[in-house]
Amino acid sequence: MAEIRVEALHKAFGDFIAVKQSDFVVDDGEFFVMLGPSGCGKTTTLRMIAGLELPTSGKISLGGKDVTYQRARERDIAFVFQLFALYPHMNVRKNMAFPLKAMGMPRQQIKQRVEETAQLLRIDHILNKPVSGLAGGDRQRVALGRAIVRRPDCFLMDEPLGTLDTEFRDLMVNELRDLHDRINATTVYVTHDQLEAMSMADKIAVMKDGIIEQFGTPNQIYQHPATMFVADFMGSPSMNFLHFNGPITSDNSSLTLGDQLFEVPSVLEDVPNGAKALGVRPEHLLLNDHSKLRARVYGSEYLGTNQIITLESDFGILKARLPSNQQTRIGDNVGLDFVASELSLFNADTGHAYTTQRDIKSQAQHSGNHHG
Amino acid sequence: MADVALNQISKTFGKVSAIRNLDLQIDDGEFVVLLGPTGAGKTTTLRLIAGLERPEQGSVTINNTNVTGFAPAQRDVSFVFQQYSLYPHLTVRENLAFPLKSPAHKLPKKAINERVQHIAELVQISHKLDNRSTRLSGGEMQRVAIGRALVREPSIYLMDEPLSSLDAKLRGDLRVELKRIQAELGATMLYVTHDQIEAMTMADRIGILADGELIQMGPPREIYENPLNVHVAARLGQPSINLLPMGTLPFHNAPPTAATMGLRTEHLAVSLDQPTINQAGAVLDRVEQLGDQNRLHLSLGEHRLVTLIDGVPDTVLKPGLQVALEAQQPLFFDASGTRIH
Repeated sequence: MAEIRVEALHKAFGDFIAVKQSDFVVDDGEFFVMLGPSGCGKTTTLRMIAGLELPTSGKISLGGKDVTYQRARERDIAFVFQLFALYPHMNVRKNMAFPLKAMGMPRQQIKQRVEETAQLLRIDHILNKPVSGLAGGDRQRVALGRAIVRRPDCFLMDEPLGTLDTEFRDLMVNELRDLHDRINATTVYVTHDQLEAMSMADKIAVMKDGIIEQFGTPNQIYQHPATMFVADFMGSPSMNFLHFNGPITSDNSSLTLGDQLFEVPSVLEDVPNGAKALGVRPEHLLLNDHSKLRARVYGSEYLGTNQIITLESDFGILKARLPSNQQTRIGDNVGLDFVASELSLFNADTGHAYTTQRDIKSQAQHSGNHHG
Repeated sequence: MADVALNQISKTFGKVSAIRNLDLQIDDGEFVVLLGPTGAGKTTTLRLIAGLERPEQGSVTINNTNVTGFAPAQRDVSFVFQQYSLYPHLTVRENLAFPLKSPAHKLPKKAINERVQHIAELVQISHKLDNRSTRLSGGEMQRVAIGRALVREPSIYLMDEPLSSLDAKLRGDLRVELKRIQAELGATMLYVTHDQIEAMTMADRIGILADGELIQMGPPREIYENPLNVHVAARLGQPSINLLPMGTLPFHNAPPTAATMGLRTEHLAVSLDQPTINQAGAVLDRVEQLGDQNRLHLSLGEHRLVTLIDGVPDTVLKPGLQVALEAQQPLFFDASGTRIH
């Protein structure tokens, strides 16, 4: 059992507060990602879980045991700093055995453990080959094997893929998640790359300035961002914000932008006068000639399966994800429309999302899941 | 601006052959992107054009002049490196003006000012012209570095992964900007990268480079839709193309010499019904939820596939789900990996 429970965790370096009253639970076997820009406190939190840093206040439990002030080596965890350096003069087997040798494990046991790990990663057929001749993918698997050969209950990883080419990164993201599905060790993974987080995580905590802005599954966070910061950080291209001051009318379910009336998911709380923002994901922005909300096509980016169109409007630069067979030309004047059921609304002063009918529906669906 | 051509260029470093028999033609005003992994010879190609390397064989011509023997300064090219290198003691304005102040140009002060102002507007840094270059964010520094290359009007701009050190968001913005600036200036540009998105979104033509050889060259859509071989097919597209041995998925009228079937997400129909005679049954291993798309990781016998799915509720997509797959106008490759029809 390796549930990680973090309660009211707080860390200050002098006047600077790195982590502010953090609370979260990582269930046994879960892949948990802490995501945020540099300086948001994600690495500090990870180091406190590892025991490399002591908290100012708060409590950390591993598998129900309070470890808050235990030393790093007294916790059954593996900290993976960087996956990808191999010893070039050693063969695959020796590379993988290295961490076990360093621990002083008996030779027979090392052999067995290395072979098990190699099977898990499907590299058992190359165990006796030198690492220098290996193809890129196999090299990365060997490096991963060396990182996991100790088999602790819990892995902590700090941007392990940070320095790789995009191509290897995609490959390793899938390898890491595959491996996780096979060994189910609780994993805490720190990154600033939202795509890595979306691809791998069971749960994500999006952090900013030492505070967890939102905690949830990748889809909850993407589809129901709690703040404008989260909405902007997740997704590429990120969410479009159309700022407006006018009211949300007719039972809180429509608003006017550029003389065009748009339906929106009905808002379930009081909306004060003042700055608001309509949040539209690029895949929910459509072109519609009849719309009075106009824009000019500024650029188009072909991506094979689809394309990203950049639009210049009175509401700033907007991006739409359209099928790649939909023709547009730079300079075209187009009308804008939205997929009404998928929109978010924010208080632009505080940055917080308003609760809408849409959030309630999705909650009902999720709780239905648990019972089903 | 000018036409630039490499003719049968070869370059070795010691025993390592970096470039082999490379023919490359870049037309006046064209944006060409060379795409390849680390070690494919991308940077070497740029350095050969700039005159920072000499080829063992072949020639470089700029505007039909053979410049193979020319020193870098005589070639009139402008180079942007991966890591921005600004003069830290100078302001943004002074950094931008620097290339114009060299004795080779002898531009009057007024002309320099006008040019700097124009370029600063293009790269959207004009509000920070008098800032010290060290007091800029990473994205601003890289925009100044690109701007400093653009103030001159050389035969060709050579760019070596100029966006790779930036974060994803900024990279996305600068891609659109760089393409717009290039079109506005009518600049001839050779840009190298390992990022397929940069290649797809900016290039007029993409060159696929592997192990020092140019494998295919053409507009992004052509390379994506009509790859010459398996290697090229696998370079473009996210998720990447699924390659299956013939017989794994039923298909009539496949070419007789086909050994491999290539299936992009648009070549795969996924249904939740029992497989028919034209379909094969597969099992869902995992759903990768990327927000704007759901990627299905499927097992088809011993083979694994990744494809996108639309319009199926998340609640249905659970590991273990049985689905039926059907190939729709897939690509075919022979035993050597060459595309066949």
